[in-house]
Amino acid sequence: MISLQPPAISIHRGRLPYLDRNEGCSLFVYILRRTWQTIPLLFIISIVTFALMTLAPGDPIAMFQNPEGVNNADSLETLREDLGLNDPIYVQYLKWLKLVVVEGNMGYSFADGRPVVEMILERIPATLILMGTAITLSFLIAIPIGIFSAVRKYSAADNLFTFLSFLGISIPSFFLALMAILLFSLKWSIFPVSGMRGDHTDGFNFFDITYHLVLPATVLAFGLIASLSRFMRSSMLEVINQDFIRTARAKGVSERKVIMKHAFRNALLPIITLVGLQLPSLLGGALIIETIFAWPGMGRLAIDSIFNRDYQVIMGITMFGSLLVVIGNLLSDVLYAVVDPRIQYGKNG
Amino acid sequence: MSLHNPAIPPHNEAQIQNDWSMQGKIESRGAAIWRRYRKNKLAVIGLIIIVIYVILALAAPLFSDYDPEYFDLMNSDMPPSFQHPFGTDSLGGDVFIRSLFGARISLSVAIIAMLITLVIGVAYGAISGYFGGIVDTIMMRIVDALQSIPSFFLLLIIAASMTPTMWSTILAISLLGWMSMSRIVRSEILSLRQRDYAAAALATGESKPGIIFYHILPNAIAPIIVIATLEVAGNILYEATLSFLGLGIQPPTPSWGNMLSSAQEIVTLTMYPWTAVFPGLFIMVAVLSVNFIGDGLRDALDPKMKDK
Repeated sequence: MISLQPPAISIHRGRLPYLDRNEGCSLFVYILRRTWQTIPLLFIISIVTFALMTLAPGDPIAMFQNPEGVNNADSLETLREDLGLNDPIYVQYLKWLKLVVVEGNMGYSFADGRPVVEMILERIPATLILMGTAITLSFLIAIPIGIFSAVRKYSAADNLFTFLSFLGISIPSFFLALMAILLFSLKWSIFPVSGMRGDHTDGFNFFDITYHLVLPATVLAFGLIASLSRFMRSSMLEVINQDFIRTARAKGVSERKVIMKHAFRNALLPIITLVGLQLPSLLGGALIIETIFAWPGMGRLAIDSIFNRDYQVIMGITMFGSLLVVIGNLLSDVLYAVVDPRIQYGKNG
Repeated sequence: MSLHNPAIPPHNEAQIQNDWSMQGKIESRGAAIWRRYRKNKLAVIGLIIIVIYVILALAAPLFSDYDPEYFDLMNSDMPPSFQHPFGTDSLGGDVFIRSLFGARISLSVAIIAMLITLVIGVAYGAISGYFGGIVDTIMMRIVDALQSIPSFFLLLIIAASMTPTMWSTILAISLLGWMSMSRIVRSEILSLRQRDYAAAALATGESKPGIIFYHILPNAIAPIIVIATLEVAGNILYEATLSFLGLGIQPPTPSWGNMLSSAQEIVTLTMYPWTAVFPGLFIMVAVLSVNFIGDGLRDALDPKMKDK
């Protein structure tokens, strides 16, 4: 069975059409086109989120309710009118859209009247630090494991790693976080229980933040290590069976060099795209981890605003989160097109 | 027999007869799947564990006189003992009994959500793959958009848009899961549509929906079953996370997630760790077992899919 077709990269099924469809264009035009495609995407996301949120039975006004007073019904009604909550849903949505598109403003929090953009921007760095560290950490650990498992396929160590990776995707992150706190913070007092800074440090202190980062980043990385190492293993196995590896071995290249130079580089390519695909779940994981470790990122803000029905903040966070994911996907696709000459964004094929 | 390779000694007639009669016993499809499934030891262990879970969940009332929603405040925060094998929680509820009843809730939420997902996903994917063209493009663009919302945000928003009950939890989880299912169904339909048997069915005058439902979908059943199984594992995690955050199953109804939620305070965690450890282990072992089953099914149903 000799196939004349270039090897299909199975992991990418369903994503390459973006590349195939653009005939005869430069990388720059390709990036422009992909960016253009994200606009309707963000549009649909905003409609869905807004619709779901306003369907909610709760009422953002409820938190202003005076616990003992029944007589503030009038003032609450005025507040509703002021916040535009009495308008039909589509009018509320169009108002929001106008605010975002025309003024580049995402509205104001119902809870404390602060601009949503400001609230999110001050939370984003912490989330990015946490996610970035987790991604780096999982790459550093998962890639060697994947290579090792592929080279020693079905060995005892490979089976152990297989089992561990199953464990990694099966353990709920909040349970892992609680156990990590129980052992490393409460029992052995090695790492702090929560937060991003110590009590007596202010401003940016690299070592302090790193010290606080160890537990949440490791817990967040755990699941990613599990899935990345599996993907790396199957990607390596796919490459190792190809003709050029046999050629390299046949001409006497040392096994170490075959694996580390010829196979590894080619196997790494699909993994780049995978990280883009993993971003949404990683962001969701970060949200829970942040809540448990009181990490001052977007997670706590998201949960609080969902409980308070603070529509504007929820909209803002969801849009920022989706934008992050869309940019991540775009970057990984572009990166992939740049590093892999077999993918031609210019012509079909 | 004239083409027989001289290097291999010819069989005598009886031997050949015997071989052929062995061949004549055609293994049924189910038996072949079971034979391949059995080879995966972890998958067999996973299956046994899940069967035990289901039996424990169904028989939960037989194990103890304690009611899962009965709280014995005089005996709160008791360490594991003969009377209370997993100890008691801060309200005096028996952790073991509550975990068993939690299994009922958690497993049924996960399985019902999977079934709903299956119906929506297969229908959506089949329609998209069947019509193709502009309908397909629009339908898939919508899925693209929904999948770009970080799934956990979407889950929280959906869950928060309803008063939390068991059914709202199920709905929230299933509204999340159908997208990947519909993608798989669609891509299976697109590739199976090219097969010769589909062309043959078309030539015999069968209608297009008929081909999709009688010829193509039955052949796509293997990946659908695998994805559905793995989805049950994911659903258990989603339910646990939602309940942990207070947006899913509400106490006093026990679910593994909300049991952990009440155990997350630092004091409880330090002094009475069993209230957190046991429900967490229940979740972990359940999800792990379902994942093993899914992995085993993947190898058993479609040997070609191995290592993908």
